[in-house]
Amino acid sequence: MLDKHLNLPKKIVVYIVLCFFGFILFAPFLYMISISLASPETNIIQNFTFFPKEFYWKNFTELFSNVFGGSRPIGLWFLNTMFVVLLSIIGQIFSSSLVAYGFAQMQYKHKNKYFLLLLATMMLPAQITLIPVFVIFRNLGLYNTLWPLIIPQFFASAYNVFFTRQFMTAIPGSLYEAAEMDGLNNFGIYRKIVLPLIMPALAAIAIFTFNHAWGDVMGPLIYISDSSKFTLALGAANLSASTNPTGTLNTSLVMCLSLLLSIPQILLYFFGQKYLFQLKLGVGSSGTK
Amino acid sequence: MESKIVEETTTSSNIASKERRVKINRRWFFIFISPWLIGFLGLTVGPMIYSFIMSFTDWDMLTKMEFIGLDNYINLFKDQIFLLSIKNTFIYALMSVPISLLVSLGMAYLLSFKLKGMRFFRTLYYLPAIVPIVASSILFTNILAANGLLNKVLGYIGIEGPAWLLEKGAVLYGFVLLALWGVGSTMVLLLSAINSIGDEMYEAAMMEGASRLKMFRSITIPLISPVIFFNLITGIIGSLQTFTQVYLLTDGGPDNASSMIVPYLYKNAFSYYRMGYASAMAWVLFAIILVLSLIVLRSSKMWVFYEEEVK
Repeated sequence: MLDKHLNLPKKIVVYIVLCFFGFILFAPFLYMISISLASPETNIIQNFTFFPKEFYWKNFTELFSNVFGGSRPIGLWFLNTMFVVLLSIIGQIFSSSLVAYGFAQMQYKHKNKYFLLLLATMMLPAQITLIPVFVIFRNLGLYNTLWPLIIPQFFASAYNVFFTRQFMTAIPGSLYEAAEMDGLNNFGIYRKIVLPLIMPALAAIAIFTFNHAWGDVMGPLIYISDSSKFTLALGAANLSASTNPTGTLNTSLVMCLSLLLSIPQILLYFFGQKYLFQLKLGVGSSGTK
Repeated sequence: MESKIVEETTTSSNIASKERRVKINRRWFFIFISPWLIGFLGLTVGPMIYSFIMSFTDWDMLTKMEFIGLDNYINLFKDQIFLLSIKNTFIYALMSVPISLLVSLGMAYLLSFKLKGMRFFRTLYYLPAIVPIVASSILFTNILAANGLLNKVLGYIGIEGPAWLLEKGAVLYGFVLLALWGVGSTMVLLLSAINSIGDEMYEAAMMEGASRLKMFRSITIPLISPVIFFNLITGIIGSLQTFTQVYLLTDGGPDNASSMIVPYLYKNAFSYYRMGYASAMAWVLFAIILVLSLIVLRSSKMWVFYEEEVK
């Protein structure tokens, strides 16, 4: 915005302010790295330094000892998490895009009423349905399995439907007419014309779903009781100090796990940036254009 | 501006075939939206009815459900911990939502200058927002500890910080600090809104000799007010439902000073198995969210600016 009107002193001021706040925001990361690399001898909170002083890599190897057994089967947790994440992504991509297509291209008198209903569910706090849904899954015999975390993902989410529909309405109508002339039915059009054109939206659905499924604590906390069925997020939560005051694991190891837990999401951000940025622009400019 | 769809005029001869088309179209519409519709009925409407009924009962999931009328709701408003939880949640929301908005607005403004290396800063400022809440909560148990990072830094400048997570008066501020660290997701939305404003407006204002501050106040803010409004609503709803941070950092302590609605609801439902009582709590939360959202929505007419209205 109006870059040309910033003169040199002002530019320097902006850079200094940017660096100052940037450093404040980055400091917790440094602290996280520093703690995760501290040796067991320094492992008391007042000894942790801001910049890493020691590089005790053994913390990471210790974290990964006995990954499929013992009190913290991290390997199992990882597999459980990936199982939930992958099926959730498949479910959301499939269901949300179908529903979005219905709202974007099908004609029906009361379509707008249904769409408002869909949007209204976004305002509904999840806690209202939390207990009954729990009772339903328990009665279905699915307590202490990963399925209650996966099954709801196959019924589309309002937010995903909302932005995917916006992508679809941008597809020119002539394309549909041409496809109809070629004898494609609605499913054909959806699969062969629409899906390839909304790849950015599908990528965004995948990223959002990943972020939710990867980091969710409350869901697994409610449904899972065996530690062999934990997800990584629940496992990390369980190992952290406040929920586990006896401290079977030292702070450095918990911090190693937190660090590793953050890495996939950071990578996903770098690779998915361009898709997310398109979406964000869509949301951001919708009101101002 | 979106283009208007031009409706084709139908001749009287093909009215019958048009009716058939309408029917077919309707069927396809329901086929496509069926995943959502089934989920909506089975996982939202049904459970809502169930939850509403449950809120008038006493039930521990083992013995028979017992209808007790309004007792749950009456007891809720006698329950000191629940009232304290509402108060704490409000205080937290009242602090974290406006402060987060102001901070992210400031950040977005800074990052909207087109300078060298801005991509780097943008990523740096956004990075904390992508850290999963479990990881950031665990990290902040260390940062906010009595001799953690924050108090060490405060010590350098001669301030003796409290034990953030152990002192009644300080614990909610600790949560606000955690919320501020993850402010990047709000910032990104505001930033893209600021960037989508064309230069012409500013150029015109500059010709008239407007200052930077004046332009920010009377061009930038009004034009991005729909996005500010969006973030205000989602921020309020989100902060009223705070759970993971409380569960991981303090579990409501010290002495319920950081007890909030959802963590207390969770405790009642899944630790004490008071399903009816917890359901009543969920409905009170729903009512609070509804009322606050409506108030913000009403107020938006006064301060949210939609360009269409002027044109």
